[in-house]
Amino acid sequence: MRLTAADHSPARSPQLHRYWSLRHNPPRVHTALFITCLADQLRPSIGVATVRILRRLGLKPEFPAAQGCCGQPAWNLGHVNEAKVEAQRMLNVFRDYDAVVTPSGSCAAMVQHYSTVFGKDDALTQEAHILAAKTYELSAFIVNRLGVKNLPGCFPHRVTWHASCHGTRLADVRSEPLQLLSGLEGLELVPLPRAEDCCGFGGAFCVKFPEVSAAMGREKCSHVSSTRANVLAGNDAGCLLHLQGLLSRDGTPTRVLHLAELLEEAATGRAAC
Amino acid sequence: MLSPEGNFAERSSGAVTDDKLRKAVRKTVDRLRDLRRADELPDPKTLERRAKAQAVREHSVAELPQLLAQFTENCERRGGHVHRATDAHEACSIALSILRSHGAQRVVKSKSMVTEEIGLNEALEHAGLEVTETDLGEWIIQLAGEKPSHIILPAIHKTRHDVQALFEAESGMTLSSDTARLCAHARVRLREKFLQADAGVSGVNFAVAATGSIALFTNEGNGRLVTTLPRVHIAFLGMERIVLDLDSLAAMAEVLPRSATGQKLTSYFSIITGPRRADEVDGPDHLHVIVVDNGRSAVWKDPEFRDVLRCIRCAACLNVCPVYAQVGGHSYGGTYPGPIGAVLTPLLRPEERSANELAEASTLCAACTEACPVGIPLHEMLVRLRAREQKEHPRRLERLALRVAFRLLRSPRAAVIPRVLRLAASGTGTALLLKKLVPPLERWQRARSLPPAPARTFRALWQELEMEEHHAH
Amino acid sequence: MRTDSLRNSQLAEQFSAALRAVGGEVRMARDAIAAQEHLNAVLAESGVQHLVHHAVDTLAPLSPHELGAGISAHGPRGLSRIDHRDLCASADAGLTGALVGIAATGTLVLAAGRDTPRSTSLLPPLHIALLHSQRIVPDLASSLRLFSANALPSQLVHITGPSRTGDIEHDLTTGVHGPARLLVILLDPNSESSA
Ligand code: SF4
Repeated sequence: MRLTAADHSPARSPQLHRYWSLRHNPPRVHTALFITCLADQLRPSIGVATVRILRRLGLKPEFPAAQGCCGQPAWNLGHVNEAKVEAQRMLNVFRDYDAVVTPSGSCAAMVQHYSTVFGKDDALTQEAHILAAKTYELSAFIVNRLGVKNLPGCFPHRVTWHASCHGTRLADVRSEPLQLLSGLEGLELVPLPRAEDCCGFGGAFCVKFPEVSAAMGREKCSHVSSTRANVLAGNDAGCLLHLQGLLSRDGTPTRVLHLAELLEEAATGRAAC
Repeated sequence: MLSPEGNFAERSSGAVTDDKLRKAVRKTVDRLRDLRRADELPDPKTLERRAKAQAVREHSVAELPQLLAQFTENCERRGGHVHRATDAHEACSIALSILRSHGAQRVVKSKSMVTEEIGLNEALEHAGLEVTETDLGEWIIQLAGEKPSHIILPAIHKTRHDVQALFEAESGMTLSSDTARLCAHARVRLREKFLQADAGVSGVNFAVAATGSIALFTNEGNGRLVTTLPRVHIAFLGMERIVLDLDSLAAMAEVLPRSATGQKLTSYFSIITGPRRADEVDGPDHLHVIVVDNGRSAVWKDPEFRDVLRCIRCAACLNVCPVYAQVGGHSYGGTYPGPIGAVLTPLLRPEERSANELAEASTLCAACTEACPVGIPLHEMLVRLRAREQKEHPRRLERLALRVAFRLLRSPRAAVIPRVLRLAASGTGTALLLKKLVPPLERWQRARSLPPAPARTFRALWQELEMEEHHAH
Repeated sequence: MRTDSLRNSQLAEQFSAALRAVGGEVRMARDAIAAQEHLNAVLAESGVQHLVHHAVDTLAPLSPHELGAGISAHGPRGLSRIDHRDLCASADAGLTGALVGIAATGTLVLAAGRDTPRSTSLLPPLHIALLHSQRIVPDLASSLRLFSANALPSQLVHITGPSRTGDIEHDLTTGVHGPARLLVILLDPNSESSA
């Protein structure tokens, strides 16, 4: 097990009690990482960070290589059969694990709703329910399944949080990421105005209706700017890539970080708090 | 009733560049949703109210045929006349023949979406009648020769200066752009119309089966004038807008104004049961209720979409819709804009192919579903509509592209997206060709930079991560 | 009985707060004399010269015959449809007696009938309503339960504040079609009369 700066910290605050007890008595949860296509192909650092965070919590996450897309793009575009094929693959890939952890609220929501894909009478529906019950977005896994409300780390920056629609409304992950962020030393969390508004990514929507999508995204970016945060964090790579694309096109210097990247940087970073 | 010009993509990309429109719409929907939240969030009874309202509407939809029969019987017993219209044309013809039989020439109307849906004004005007919309917003829209762009605030896209210009053109007077003065002007002009009117036309928020009553929620009072002064009252009832009894009506009154405007109750809430009694000095001598089907029966028979008939047209889904806020109501092309329009329009007009495209115009953010007081799973219905469209008119190329992509994304060595990104960023001739071949790439880049391509995918990195773990032990 | 009247007063308070919140005015009266004084004062302050009112027996204990000098008052009896309409359309104020008050929302319930026509509370720019505190019920559902399904009036109207519109830039404006002012004289024996 790798040690971090925080391990040597003389002041182990009581809030971190659960974290330390897990490190000493690793939880027996056979955990699979569901990486998601976007993180795999476009932002592998999210996956690397996720793995390291889970390891620090005493877990040995595995990466079943047969996994693919959760099928959401097909399902949302109305290609039901293609979605079913992908969903079925995921049922098989993750059958033997106790927990499936993914760094995306949206992909977690899709997996959690496979029973709709298979329909009421399908024989696979029962299995879909089992997979749904053991699939977690990363922060929900840490906070709700492991019972860890605080992680050690230091991140001395002004941060605002983009609450992705699918993560909040469909996967019901609302307070968990904020819980983890606000526990970090030095981090100043500023609320994002109109946080509940969609950023305009919407999967295929962002290239089917690029003008509308960009207009929605620009509104989100102007709210981000109004917070004067130097970091925009979120837990859905799609939204983040879309917003980062808009911000960098406008030359706005705001850093866009995934929750996992941020937590990892806080745990291992050189910044002293 | 889709507007003929263009499709959603064209109308909306025009609308997003109209800053005046976007500002006006944004200001108003933000205010409306803030009002609703200010009322609902701190109130512990909100969930209970919604659950009750949903139960009432579920029952209404399940028992629709029986409730309609019961309503008809009770309404007629109290002296009203109930007519059934299968489509828009029949609904307008029934109205016209009622009006002719009473020799009515001047008609005043209060706000009603179903009369928009059937094109009543055009039909009556075509027959030589004078029709005046009396809801302030509807009158503004009528003077502008437009269609409403919001269910409860039809003139949401007009500024006070637009209104001033319209009123000046109508009256030949010079007016100020002060809202109170403009309203006072409308009061005087429209009061004349009310006093001269031969017939009043209204919608119906809810019909009550057990009592044969119709209920109307209004704020301005024009709904009361329309149903008080003229000798004939014709009420248009969307077939599904019916509830069992007064208790059910009370449950709906608890959510409709709250969801629409954040009001606990609208200024006026009238329950009308039959025409005036013989000894009353005001109220209509004749009450006609025209029940409009216009595609609803077909929706009712479809188990995938039947629940949409619970809708009470509160517009809460519009006010939270991020797409609606950008593009305004007219982009949707039909009578009903926003999420409810994107679901309802293609269902009511299955023969109009372009309506199906409305279901695409959503990020599936589910804000609509969350806002809906009667629990309609709007975003799921949008997905179901997309699936239906794929089944009937498959997009084969898209399907093939998905299959190939799913395959490639699983492959440990392909690293397809990073390769494409590196190529696109190379600035070579191949990059240009690539953009032509992969339209999404060009569409992404219209407003956004491409993300930097990572050196290796996570799949490729996994081995190293495994080693790392190994060494740590 | 005492607890009943206390309860009425609580409902009366809730009613007043809700009505004021939506822009309605409330004057409390502890007895008939105070109520009549309020009425006369309101008419004088507002410069009312022509008053239309519901039939006298629906207004007790107010008397439209004891108004200040120079005010004409008309009830609905014996008028033709057109005459009644024109009187209401040109009146400065309409006076009605509310059948029920709803505490939760500050709502007045009026039933249309021979003695209680619809136009009185609708056409004039000022609507004055008398409400007895014993007639206040907690919420809409309890109000609707007072009416039997077979005996509904031709129109039961629930009035909550003045006529309002937000149709121009969602800028709240009152009195676009109905009365711009709604004033309730609330008769509650337990109240401190207020001016
Ligand atoms: S779908 Fe729901 S939120 Fe939208 S108008 Fe209908 S009832 Fe209101």
